[in-house]
Amino acid sequence: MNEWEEAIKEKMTGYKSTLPEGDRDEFLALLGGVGKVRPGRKSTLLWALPATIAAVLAVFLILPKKDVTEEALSGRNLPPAEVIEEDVDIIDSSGSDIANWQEEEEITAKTYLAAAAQPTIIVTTGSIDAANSDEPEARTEECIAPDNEENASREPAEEVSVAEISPFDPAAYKPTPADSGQKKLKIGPVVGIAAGSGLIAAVIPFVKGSARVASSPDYDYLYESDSGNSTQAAYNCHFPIRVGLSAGVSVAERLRVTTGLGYSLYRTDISNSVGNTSQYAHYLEIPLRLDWVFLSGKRFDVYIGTGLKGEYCIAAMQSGGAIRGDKPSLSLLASGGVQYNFTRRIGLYIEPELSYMFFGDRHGLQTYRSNNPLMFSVATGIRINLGNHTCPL
Amino acid sequence: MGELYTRYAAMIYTLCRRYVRDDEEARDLMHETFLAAFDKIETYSGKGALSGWLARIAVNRAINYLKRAHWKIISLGEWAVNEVAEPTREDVNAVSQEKLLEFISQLPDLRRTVFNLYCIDGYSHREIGQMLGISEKGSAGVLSKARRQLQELIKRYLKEKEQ
Repeated sequence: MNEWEEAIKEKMTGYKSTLPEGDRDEFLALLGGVGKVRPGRKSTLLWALPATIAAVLAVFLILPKKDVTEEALSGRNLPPAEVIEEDVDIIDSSGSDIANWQEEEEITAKTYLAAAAQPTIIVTTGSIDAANSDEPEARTEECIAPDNEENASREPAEEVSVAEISPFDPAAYKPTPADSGQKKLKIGPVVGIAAGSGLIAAVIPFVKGSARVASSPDYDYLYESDSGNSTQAAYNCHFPIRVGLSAGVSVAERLRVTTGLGYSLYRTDISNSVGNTSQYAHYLEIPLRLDWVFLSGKRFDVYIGTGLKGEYCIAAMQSGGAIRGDKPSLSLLASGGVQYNFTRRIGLYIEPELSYMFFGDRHGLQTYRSNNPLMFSVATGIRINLGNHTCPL
Repeated sequence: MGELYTRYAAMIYTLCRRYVRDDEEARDLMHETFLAAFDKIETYSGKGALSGWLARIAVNRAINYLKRAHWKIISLGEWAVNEVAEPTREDVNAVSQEKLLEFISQLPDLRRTVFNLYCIDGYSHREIGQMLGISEKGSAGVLSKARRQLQELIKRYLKEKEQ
């Protein structure tokens, strides 16, 4: 120690500053159980507000959106269309020549064939009356029959066997649930929401179950001698328990951006000469990860991903009393996963994850995370897949 | 109990003022120290001075409080960069105790705590590292910055006093 520091030590060691007025009476009142040393702390749950908003947004993403089905657009199963009169005019104006008339007939037949497979149905007929006939075969035949002087000389065209596939055939009309009034629920393909239930974090025994931190004095630290020997406390930091929800947004065929909201509980047992106590720290986590599905099968999907995760301590308790938690922290994530799909909607996943906390002040609380910035964990749970996703996941 | 408080309150209060910035917080810490001491009085074995035993409790309470208060560390880079000549013993003797206390309280939390523990309360860097959850090298580095900042404060005060 320097000379000037020695001088400071000598001056400060014996110094006694003046106590505020009425302090002794106030302390004696405290000793008698009147009042508290410190007023209750304000709720820190204000920081939970952004996380709550994120959770509400995730819920809205889950809500189904009506979408127009392809079948509805194609009109494949629409009931037969009515006669379009203008087509009659077209037939009449172009039927002066037999060859042209036959060509028209072929075009008409082709139109029928196409109409049988296409949603848009165009009815062509040489006679309005024939077109209004209720008999499909009659209408078909009438379509190729001439109805004016010009067409009268034409030889009847070969009957085109289109009746079997005529769109006028009621048997060809198959009602769909949409037609029967039932709505088919479909979610937009952009967003696939995966809800993880149960545990997100490790239950794997090969992960360190708990870390015994080097003894460090805290709380009821008492000095028992003036020789420098003192009683110290030991910390036993337990591996955290995590649960939460996750949401995935497909950005490409095999790429997905995953985010969500998670909750972690860190427990630390503190033991010293006075006794034992436990510390509980509650954290909210918001990860942001980019996943690549590199292997996909009928039942299995395998993916890897990387990203970031923000964590914030929303509450901390020790010996039944609230204590202040840590500052927010940021971690780098690297993970992989395998998902087994029981059905199209439900799957079981397991995700080993490696995270490194590279930003954050964790000197306040002794937890498993503060003592292990590089942490390996395994998440498992049930994932519910909603929506039409081109991505296998 | 009242007698104990009357005898040692001022000393513990001054110690608490060295560790926390606010006088009100220092008073609360002092009250907590005595309440804890009264609860655990049976654990005092009689070895060593009672004042030392109380001081130890107060130091631990102060460190716990600072940890819980998120270590409001303010990195004063300018203090660390400027090279100031070390003050002499005479320089320090020219500064009142209350003023020295004020200079110490102006240090950021961690620097103030390490300075108090090492220079005034006599802990080693190893012990400080264990108490604060930092390495020995980290403790030495923080102490170095605390020293430079205090030197700057003392020199500046003496310069203004001469003028």
